[in-house]
Amino acid sequence: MGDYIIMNNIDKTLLLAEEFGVDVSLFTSSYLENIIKSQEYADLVVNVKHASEFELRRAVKLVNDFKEINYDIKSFDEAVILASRVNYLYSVSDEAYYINPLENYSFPIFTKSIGEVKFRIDTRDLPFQEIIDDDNLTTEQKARCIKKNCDRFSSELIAKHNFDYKRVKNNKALKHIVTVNVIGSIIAFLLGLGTFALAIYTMVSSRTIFIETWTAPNITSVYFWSIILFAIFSYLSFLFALLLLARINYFFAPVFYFGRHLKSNIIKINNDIVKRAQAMAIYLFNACVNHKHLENDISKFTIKRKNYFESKLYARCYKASSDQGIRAFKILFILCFLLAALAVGVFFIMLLLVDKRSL
Amino acid sequence: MSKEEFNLYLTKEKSYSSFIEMGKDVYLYPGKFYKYFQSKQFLTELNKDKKRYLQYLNLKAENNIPDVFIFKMSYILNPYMSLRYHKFKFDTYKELGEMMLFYSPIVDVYLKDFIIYNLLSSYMERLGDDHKFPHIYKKLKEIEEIAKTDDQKAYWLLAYFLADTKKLHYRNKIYDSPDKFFSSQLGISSLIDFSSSFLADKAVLTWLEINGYEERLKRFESLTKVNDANEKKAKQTRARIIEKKKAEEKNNN
Repeated sequence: MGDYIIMNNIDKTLLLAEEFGVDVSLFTSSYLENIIKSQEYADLVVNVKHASEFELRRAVKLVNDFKEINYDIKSFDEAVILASRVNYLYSVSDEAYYINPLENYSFPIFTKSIGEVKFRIDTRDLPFQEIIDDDNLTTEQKARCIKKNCDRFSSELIAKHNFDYKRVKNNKALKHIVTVNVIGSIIAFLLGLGTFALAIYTMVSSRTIFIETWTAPNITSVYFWSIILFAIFSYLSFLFALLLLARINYFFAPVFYFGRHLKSNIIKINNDIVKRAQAMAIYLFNACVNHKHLENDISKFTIKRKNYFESKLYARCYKASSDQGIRAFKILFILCFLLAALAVGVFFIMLLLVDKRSL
Repeated sequence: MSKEEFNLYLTKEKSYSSFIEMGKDVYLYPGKFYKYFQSKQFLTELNKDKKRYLQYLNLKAENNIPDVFIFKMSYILNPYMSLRYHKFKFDTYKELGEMMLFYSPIVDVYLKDFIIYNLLSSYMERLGDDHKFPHIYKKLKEIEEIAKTDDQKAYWLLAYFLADTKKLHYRNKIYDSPDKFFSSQLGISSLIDFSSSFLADKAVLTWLEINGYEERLKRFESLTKVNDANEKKAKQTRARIIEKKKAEEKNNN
């Protein structure tokens, strides 16, 4: 385990000396080494990786701030700034600082109770349990703190959903992918359906040539084989078109969902968030009044609706173009359709050009 | 001036025939004089000089600490003598400044009394030096205000002002530039010595301010302040995490 980053009076002296032009470069590299090898820095790296899973304002800020740390240190002054930055980021890298108790997380979290979540009061961020236990705060101060923070949680989640919605709605690349794939699969479906309908027609038609094929098949006849093969390949092309459509739907379901239900659903989700935030505020206020110790209640007020806004679902859309299943179904559909078309072609060539007869 | 003779016996061996004469020695034996000034013998003699007796009663009513009482009492006895306090004697204000710098970076507790108990300004007022040396008196009053919030800084401001110097006095050496001074402090033992006290005694920090390095000092102070605040936050976060882990381990066991 590394040491902690603490700036002692010797460090302060070196900082002051450097301010007046004294060369303290000999001390700078060892100070920098202490920072990188410190326990805070090691913990910070782990915490930032965990925070990157959360799409919440404070978590995103933490990750970005960490990425922006400048390690190109040329002076003791810069090393001190780095130490200060690492300490600050470490203090806000605790999950309890950025977690939103209203959000439903699909991955494991460390926070077990709302009492651990940090609430902003005046200029400090304190675990809510400490606010409950603080007898120096009046009930009114606690109530104000609860309201402010619950409003923050609800507005953060609503803003996140609105942002995700806009991100999807305005995403031209995504729209292009969706359009191309969906229209392609619809066209394939229509073609498959058309050829399949045509195959069915040959089975129910009263035309002699079709009746003969299905009731008195002549395996030496070209017509027989062209109609049979047409039926088989049109059935297969229709089947593969259906499979393609199903596979496309799997990838683009979130987008379809948005298209159809987005506006109404987003209003429902946002209203649900506001209601849960209000319920949570009442719960927390009662906990304050009764000096309750909060335990294992982190999921008590989380939203239950499936979150279609998760970016992972969108990442699925982008993977559609490289999906093996979609590629396979496309190829198989095209192959079967072409073979069906070939069979139809042979049929008509024989009929019109060789035998010179009509249907 | 009264030409009356008084019988003033500080001790069996030490006696005075006039208050003027006695007043000159008060700074040499502060403890003894403090006890003497409460004695019946002294009060009986003092009562013969109504003016001084009245001043004595007024001074008693102020309820000062003993050192302040002694100082003010010495000037009731002899209002004409030079500045004297707790074995220190100064014929000029500059000498006071130089004596303060002599001990730098250590703040002499008795010399500090001149500022924090307003002894120097009351001395100047009594002697009429507030009109003779108005620039000194004005600066002194400003420094007394500063002393209410930062007595260490006030001490050094007064020292450098009265001594009329801008060179740094530090452990009996004199430096005329910050880089020369700091370069001399980078050895192991001097670095440890200096760093352990410079923030508290403020001798060097005040000298830097006097010499116009306020901006750099502000930058240093703001950087260390922010750093200290972030260290504190990190420490609190660490403590909470450790406490939480301990509670979880206890629950698991």
